[in-house]
Amino acid sequence: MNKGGGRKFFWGLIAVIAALALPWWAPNTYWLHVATLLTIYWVINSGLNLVVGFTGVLSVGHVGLFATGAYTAAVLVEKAGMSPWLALIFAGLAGGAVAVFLSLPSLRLQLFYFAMATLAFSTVVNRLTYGLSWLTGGGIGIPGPSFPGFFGTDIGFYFLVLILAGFFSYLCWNISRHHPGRALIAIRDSQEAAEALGISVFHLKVIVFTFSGILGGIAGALYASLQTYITPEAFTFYLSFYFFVAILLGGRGNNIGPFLGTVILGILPEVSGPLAKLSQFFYGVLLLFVILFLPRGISSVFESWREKREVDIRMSPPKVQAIGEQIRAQGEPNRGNAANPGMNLETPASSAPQSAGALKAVNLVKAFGNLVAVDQASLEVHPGTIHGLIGPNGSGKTTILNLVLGYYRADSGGIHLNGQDLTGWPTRNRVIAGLSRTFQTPKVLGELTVIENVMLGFGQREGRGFFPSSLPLPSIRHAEKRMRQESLKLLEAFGMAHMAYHRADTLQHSEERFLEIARALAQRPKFILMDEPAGGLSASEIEILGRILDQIRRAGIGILLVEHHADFVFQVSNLVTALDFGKVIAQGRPAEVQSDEKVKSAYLGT
Amino acid sequence: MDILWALLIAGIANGAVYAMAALTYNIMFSTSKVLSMTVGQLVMIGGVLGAFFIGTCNMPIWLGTLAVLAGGGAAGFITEWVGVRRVITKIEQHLYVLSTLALAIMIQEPVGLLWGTEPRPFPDIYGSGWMGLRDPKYYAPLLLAVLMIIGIELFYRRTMYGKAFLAVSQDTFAARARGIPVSRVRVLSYVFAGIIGAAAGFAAGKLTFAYFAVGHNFTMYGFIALALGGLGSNVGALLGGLILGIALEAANYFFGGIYMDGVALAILISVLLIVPKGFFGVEGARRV
Repeated sequence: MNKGGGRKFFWGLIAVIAALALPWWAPNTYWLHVATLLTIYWVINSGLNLVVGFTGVLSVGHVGLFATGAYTAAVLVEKAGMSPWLALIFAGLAGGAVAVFLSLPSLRLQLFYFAMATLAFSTVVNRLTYGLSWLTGGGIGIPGPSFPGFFGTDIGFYFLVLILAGFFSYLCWNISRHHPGRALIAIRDSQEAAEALGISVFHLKVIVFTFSGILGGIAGALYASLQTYITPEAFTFYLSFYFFVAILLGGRGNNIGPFLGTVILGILPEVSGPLAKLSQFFYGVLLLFVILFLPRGISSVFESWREKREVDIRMSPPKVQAIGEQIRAQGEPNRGNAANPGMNLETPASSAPQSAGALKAVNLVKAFGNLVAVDQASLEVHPGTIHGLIGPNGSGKTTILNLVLGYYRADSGGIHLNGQDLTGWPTRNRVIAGLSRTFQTPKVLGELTVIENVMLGFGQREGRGFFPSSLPLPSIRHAEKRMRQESLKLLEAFGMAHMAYHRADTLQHSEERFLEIARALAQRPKFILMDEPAGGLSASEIEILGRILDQIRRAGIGILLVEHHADFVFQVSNLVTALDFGKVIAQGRPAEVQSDEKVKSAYLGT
Repeated sequence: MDILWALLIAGIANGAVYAMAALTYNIMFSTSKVLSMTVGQLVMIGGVLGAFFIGTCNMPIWLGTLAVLAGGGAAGFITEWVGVRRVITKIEQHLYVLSTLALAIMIQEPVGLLWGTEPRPFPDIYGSGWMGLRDPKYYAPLLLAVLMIIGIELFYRRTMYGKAFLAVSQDTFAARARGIPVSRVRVLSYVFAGIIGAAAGFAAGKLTFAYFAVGHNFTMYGFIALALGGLGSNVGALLGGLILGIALEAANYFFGGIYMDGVALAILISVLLIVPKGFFGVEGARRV
């Protein structure tokens, strides 16, 4: 993590000094004006970057929020005689309020529809600023507020903008390097994984969009002051396009790239006459180029250079005992009886005496059209046991798993955890109640580091909210430090500590599988639902996996194991349920199920 | 009463253009599952090229029309070739939004530079001397839209190539396995869509003028018409377009023109939330 930290600090310091000294080295006031303008653009883009670059939400209409702020400030000062300072705050509030109003319905839409809604929104705002001429001055425009005293001068205003931009960059940087930043990237790269990690996807999207709206509103107000006079012509879709391209060009999931993108794309039309005329065309070409050849932005070029060195380093054998110790050390008071390692289930699951704390699926039914994928299936998983779920392809194993976690809604039947009815709950609440999962195809977040993936798991309980994370609070720092230490310990046990700071997309398949288990353990679940954890593993890796599962079980966590490798399931499970065509055909101890005639015929196809 | 008639007729005329834009979306979507941001630009090109070939170059109307359609087909081809082909094979599904958006700007900007950024008059392709609401410019778009839909349906049902289009739209992999040249079908559908978009812009030239910036509006309104009618349904596109056109004219009349886009946005969001499949949809809104 600290690799190149010193160098980064050095360049950052140079940049800050250069920015502060700009009024004395800029050739003339025009360049001071340009610098102020670009800094204002960065105020809106620092927020938009969290939306587009981190969350992957394509808002192409942010100019609407920018215009909202600009006109709010101008109207409040011009028509209501408000102090420009107060108007600046109101502009931010207006931007945030409009963002809430826009995002609450439209963030429920899928990607293209959302982009279209934001495009329409920017048109709406533009049309209103033209039309409501009694308020906005229409096409003639309205004077922008000017600040009194020192901040009313060119240099003073530049410093004001610089201070605000610095402050907001700091907030965004804090958000992006703490739990919310990782959660946003999880939403962008895998919504399913984000839900499985207990992230409140919709809420977080609305919050980040609102935050960007506040910054957009403030940036708009500053813009109105800089231009001294604003007309609707200044707030066309073109401006939005520039914001947007600057971020994508700079690369997603970081702050520096989009910052450089904003500055460089903004300066180019100023230094070259022909480019000014063609700037939008040029932005279009750049955007197309980035999408076709560098979908992760310019900064990815440097990253891939770094990755090459990491590719050959592999995980060492997991220390299986240490994994169990880690789970116990983290302690989860609600977990089942952990001091019951060699638990033998003499009685069948249905009449189990220790059903307290159990995860139960009762008479689940799920049909996709005419295909009944799960038909009246029931099963119970007890804390500290492994419940294997086997069946041929298409027998409904993964569907049951998805029903239990709420990825699908059951047509009928219920899910209960420790006597609590989870049936109508969204996935996230089930996760918070103590369920976690791994996926059939590992959903490791490739653009985060290995340790950040595990920290996302810990973040479910220890991560702090979006707004607190933006501030330099000691509690945030401590939580972050604790999550990092715990993650390192867990990775150490999994034999991956030495690659903690490698990007997760440099991992091999088997490493991804183990990392997913580590991440699920970090959530401190009562139950883990594993979807084909042995898939694609070698014989020796499966052996290690079996021992890890045993440790997890002994530490008191219940496992629902969906698996193709029947031998593996029979070997590690306490109870096994066999499915065929969505129906439970056998349930009981491994030996019983293994010798069941129906199971044999389902597998052999006789 | 007269004013209500005027409102209805203007609504139907504009609505028919939105419907044709929605058809353009549909045809591209059917073979590629891509909603292209260039749709409005294809419509815009139809208007500008029409004014250029017939008005500026003094071509006869039949030749000018052919040239416009050829231009639209070329723009459709470019959309596929530059903005879609390379992108739909990538894992990330949303990239097409960005690539077609970039392309839309790359089409619009040169037109603005070469043609000028002011609306310019469109030649009298329907003859001159028409008065008021009798002017065919109000009826040509609807007629054309209906003919297009009949033509498309006949093409899909009666010709071998049309059936190949349907096959690709239903299941690309199965179609490829049956030996259908999926890529060629996709390219053709984009050329086809370009022609339809340009024809729409050409027919509406007297309503919109030859103006480089109308593209965004048609991208937006065409999509709203599509959302109303339901993705994949051509008849739905027509009805959605007409409903939207009349609704916007009504909003214009009752609230004033400045609220038209607001009404459009409200329609868009509420339709997508309440009736995600649209009123005549055959293909549901996909989950991301």
